Amino acid sequence: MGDVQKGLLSVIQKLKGSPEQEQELRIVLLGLDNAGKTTLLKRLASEEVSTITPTQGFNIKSVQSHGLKLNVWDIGGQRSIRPYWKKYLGSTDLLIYVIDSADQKRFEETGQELAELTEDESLTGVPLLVFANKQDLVTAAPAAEIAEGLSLHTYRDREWQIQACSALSGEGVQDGMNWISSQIMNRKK
Amino acid sequence: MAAEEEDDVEWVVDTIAGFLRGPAWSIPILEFMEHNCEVFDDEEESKLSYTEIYQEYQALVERLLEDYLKEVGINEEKFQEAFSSPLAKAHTSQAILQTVLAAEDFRLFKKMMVQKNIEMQLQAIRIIKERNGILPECLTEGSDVFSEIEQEEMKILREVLRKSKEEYEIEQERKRTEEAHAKLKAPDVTHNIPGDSREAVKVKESTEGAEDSEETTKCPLEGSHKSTKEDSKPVCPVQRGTENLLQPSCTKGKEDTKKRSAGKGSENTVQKAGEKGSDLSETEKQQLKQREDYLKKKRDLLLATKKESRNNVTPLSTDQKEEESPPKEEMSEEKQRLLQKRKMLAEKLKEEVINKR
Repeated sequence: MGDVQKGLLSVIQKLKGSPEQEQELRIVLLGLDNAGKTTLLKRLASEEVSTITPTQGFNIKSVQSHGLKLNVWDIGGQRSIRPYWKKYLGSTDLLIYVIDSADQKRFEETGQELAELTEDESLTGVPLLVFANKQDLVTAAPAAEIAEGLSLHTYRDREWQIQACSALSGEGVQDGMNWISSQIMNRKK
Repeated sequence: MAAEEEDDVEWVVDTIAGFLRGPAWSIPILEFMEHNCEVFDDEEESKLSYTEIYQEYQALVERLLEDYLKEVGINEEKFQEAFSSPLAKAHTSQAILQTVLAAEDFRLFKKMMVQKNIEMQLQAIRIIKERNGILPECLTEGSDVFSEIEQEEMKILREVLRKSKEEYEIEQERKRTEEAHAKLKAPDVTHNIPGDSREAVKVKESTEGAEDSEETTKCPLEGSHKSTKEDSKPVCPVQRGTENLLQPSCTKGKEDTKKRSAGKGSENTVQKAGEKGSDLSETEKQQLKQREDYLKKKRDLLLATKKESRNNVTPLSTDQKEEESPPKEEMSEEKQRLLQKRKMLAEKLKEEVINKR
């Protein structure tokens, strides 16, 4: 992956017939299996969320938000697929990490995966949004508790935010998106 | 001086656009697509394997572009400058750029590969049909395990094949009467335009195939026709009439088989639903496997032929042509026109299938 040639391609990409230099961002959506990544993705794209099956590969959708075009990559979270995650981290502008707030048994597992991810070189300094999903379930842990479990406060080298939400009902999702665009705007300045 | 710079920019853009139109670019790109498109389907979810192929494609595009720029002595700065200028947009079309843009846009890449895969499948099936007259059982039976899309595809395909057969038969009839006329005249042999010889050979092959198909399909179709209830309708008495009358009955029979297999399909589904087992039965699996193997074989064959035909770009000499197509039955203009028509029809339908997606 020579940087020089990448330059060639990015130059050509400018010739794409898209509207005048609309800013495109790459967002990667990760988390354990059954965390609700694909449901969240479909929610973001205002699509039907009732018939979602476990993702074996990955999904991509473009989401318009605050005048930005967000290309969101949702990659399957099953254990066997996780080794492939790192292939999708290159030139990522923002990481969304989704957690099933009601799956207390796997909090440790999800914490480990996140810690491993944030150590990846390609994600250095990349802002992190954690969605504490499934808040519609009574057994869901509150976002603050999850943040503590993940030791988010120890993250010094990147902006982060935890947002309680229910991808199923849509609650809290927009708040997360607002944080994302504020991050992007800040970076542009 | 500004004008000079603009000339320079224009030269760079035109040179690269020319390269993208030429074989040094399009052949390796096409070859890559044909070799790798097999796993690409129209599902919304992408397979992990797509990413690997995509990365290979990116590497290929980068390498081709870089090598070319080196060859013609355009450095990266010049290239950047040229392609950042508004001139670049004016002098290149999206169609030319598509294969380049696909290297930076996964979704465009996926779309391209899915399209290529469908094209290859259609071609393979057409070849099977042309060679064997009918599709092998493993391709027509077991429609119950097809996905909806596949069923739709097969429906369209059958329609294409049926139409082309109908047309062929009509032409065949006309040809016979014309031949009768022609016999009175001197045997006026229509030679093909040189350079078109490869096409002519292909054309010949396919018409011969179609002739075979006429023979082989007639019986089973009529058989199935008899076995259906619709026989009670007053359609059949004309069957043993002239050639002309045979043709509609033939297509009718086909429709019947279609209906029959559809009925069978739903029967199977009911059965399956009853068992509540989502697993395919052993025989169904075998059939699927058979079908897959068959298609794979055909695809490999197609790839080989394609590659070959690309390798010998020089058209066959007229001598060779004469050798390859013994003068036992010369291509009449009529036949060529018919084939042209069939090709166009297939092309149109193919486009419809692909664009609909």
